[in-house]
Amino acid sequence: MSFFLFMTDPAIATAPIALPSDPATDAPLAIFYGQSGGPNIYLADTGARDGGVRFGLIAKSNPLAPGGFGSECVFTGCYVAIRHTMAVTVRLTPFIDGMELTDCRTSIALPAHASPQRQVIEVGWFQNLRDPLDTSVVVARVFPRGAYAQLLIETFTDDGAGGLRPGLETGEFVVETAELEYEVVRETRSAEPVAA
Amino acid sequence: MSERPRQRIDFGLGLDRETGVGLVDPVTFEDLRNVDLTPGRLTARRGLEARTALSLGGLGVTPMTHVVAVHALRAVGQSLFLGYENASRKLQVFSAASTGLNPVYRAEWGILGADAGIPQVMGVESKGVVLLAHSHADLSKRLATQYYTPATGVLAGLTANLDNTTAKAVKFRGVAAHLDYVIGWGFGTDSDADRPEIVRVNLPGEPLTWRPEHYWMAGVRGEPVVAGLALRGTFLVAKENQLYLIRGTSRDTFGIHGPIDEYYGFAGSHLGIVVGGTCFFWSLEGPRATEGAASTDIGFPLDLGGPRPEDLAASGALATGFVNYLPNKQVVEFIFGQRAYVLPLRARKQPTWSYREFGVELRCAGLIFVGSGTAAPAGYPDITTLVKTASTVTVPWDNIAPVVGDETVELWLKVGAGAYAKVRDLAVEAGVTQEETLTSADGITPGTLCKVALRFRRGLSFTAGYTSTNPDDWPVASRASVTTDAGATAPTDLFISDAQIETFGPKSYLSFRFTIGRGEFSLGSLSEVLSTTSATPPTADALPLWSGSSSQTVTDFIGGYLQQPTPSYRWFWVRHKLSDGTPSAVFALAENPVDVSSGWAL
Repeated sequence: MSFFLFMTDPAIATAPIALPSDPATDAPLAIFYGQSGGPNIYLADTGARDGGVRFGLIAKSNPLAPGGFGSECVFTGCYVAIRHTMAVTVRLTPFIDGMELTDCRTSIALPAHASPQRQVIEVGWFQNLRDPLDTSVVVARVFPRGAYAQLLIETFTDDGAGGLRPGLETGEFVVETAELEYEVVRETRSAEPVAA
Repeated sequence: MSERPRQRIDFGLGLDRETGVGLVDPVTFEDLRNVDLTPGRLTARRGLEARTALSLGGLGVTPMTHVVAVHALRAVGQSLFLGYENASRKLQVFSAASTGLNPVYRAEWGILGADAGIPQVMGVESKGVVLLAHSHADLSKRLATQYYTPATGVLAGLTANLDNTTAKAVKFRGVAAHLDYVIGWGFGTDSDADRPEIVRVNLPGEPLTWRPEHYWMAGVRGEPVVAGLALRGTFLVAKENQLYLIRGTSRDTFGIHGPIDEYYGFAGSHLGIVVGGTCFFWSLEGPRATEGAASTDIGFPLDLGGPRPEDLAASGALATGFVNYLPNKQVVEFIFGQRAYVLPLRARKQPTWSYREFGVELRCAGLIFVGSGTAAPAGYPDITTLVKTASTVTVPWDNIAPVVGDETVELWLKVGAGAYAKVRDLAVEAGVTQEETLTSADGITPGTLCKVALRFRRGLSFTAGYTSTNPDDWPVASRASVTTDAGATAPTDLFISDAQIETFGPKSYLSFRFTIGRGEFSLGSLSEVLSTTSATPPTADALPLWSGSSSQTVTDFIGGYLQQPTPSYRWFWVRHKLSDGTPSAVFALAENPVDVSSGWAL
């Protein structure tokens, strides 16, 4: 190819750089990634999928043991403050003493908003006590008890077949704070009274 | 009833997988993925959008297997990509608009050895050129260092006279900018090439001029320098397990010091970055940081030696990982295939990490302009009326907006009962009607139905509705067909009507006069007599022995052929050719083959 052709290459000569329409939010520079195992060049920080592949948010807190690890607490629920424009399903799952409490798992479908909306999700945690002879029968519901608790926050989107799978949608989803509510019911194993 | 107490979890504090459960702060995280951490909050990260794609030779047919480098060419407002294709093992260079759209193939750097693996490339822009080094530890598998000149689009090999003989090819393992210099490492001289500990510096402001005596040796001979980075006015030289520092600003004051860190270096050539005067790097033991002295551990919250979340995305190889800084988020990312470790730098007293799981494997990154545009073109070519002759089809079309100017127009052709095939890649010209003429070289033949189709391509992306490889699936506006004009009628007879022998000294020569039986006469058309040395008819582009108006049915004498004892045979043919150059089929001489060496009796 000749020098002349290079100099007049329209791909180089005419492609525009659009200046940011909003300097506060539109970055004129951005990271581009090169793919391994494929030919694509990706623009970072755009959309809600990686080259069409979904990904979800996962946040699992470290153990909270309000009364110490030799104590017993009831964990009665959680409050999660979020800000979002994204239509997404948030799933909150408590872990008590390392065990995932599926009875207490809560999914909240958030609608899309044009501008960011703040809301606090309040979830009470109840564990089902089931009839040992027929586990489909719930005989009572109690607050979960244990020494320590963790909170798992995940996001899901519609999988197109009526179900959910980990994912995010276009827009903003921010978790601003969370609180775990508890009550220490037994600080430690009580000493036996000494007989007179 | 009194209120129950609550424990607040302040988001933004990141992972802590190292601290024991008795001491761990409950507001840190055991698992944290795909988030951007800022003080007091946690934001879901955004995704990656395919902007464009590379294909072998830029032809849009064979996708490159890996994108191995993304560079901004700020001096000229362009960007540079390097792609590698596994099957051919070709490493190729592409340039693109500053927005990264529609890379244009520029040159082939080379073909890697079968066992060289997927290449890693280091590049540095300096004074109108970009030096490119193939970062392979084994010199025998390393491609020679190249420099790309954006102004001309030419890729050329870097040469230097480093052993006081003549200029020879240079094979740096890496290159980096420092002050007004380019620093290259991993190469001795042409006669003593495998010197991985040598670090060379060019003449200031002259990226193509390297002097033999301008070098340092970093540590023990034979222990390779892996990477180098400018750091706080010095230059940090990294081996796998040591760090050195080059201080000074000119040849008079330059000197290498160290090791400043005796135990930790870079685990890979692309695993170090300087942000705000601190070098963040991934050592063989995990992430660390240095400001020019012994490095400190910043990766302890990750507990890399311990178990990780069981379903965390698989990690790529350590040595092929890379580090990247996102200026808008102020985070450093260490990326290994699909898994990344992310370190925000906003006002932290201690390192705050999270994981990132990418949906695709990543290999490199670069900071270039965003600009406007999309991966796929949005406009399309609209074919207007085709213009035909017997052997040509001219395809005119309008480029329907939006047309940015970086699209490629693909022209496809189907002749008769054949299949569609792409015959042209053309640069789009926005706002004008373009046309392209197909000829017999493209397979156009007289009296044949020719179908043509057009579409826009940008990288490997097409306008919506045009992605099929069968143009019959594309929108109607993109297609048209025409039957070419009938060709010339072939002559109906050819015979030798006369022969003569001419003698020049001891040699005699035989020549012939032919009579042509023309079937049909067309004004301006020609009759052509051709010969071959076998029974295979001449091709359409074969040169004639004689050419004359097709109104002329008797030729001039054609020859002469030397008379000799050894037999020599010729096959004679005649054809007509229309005024537009379209030839008819050939008609064979009834007497074929003719022994032209031993006289001829009518």
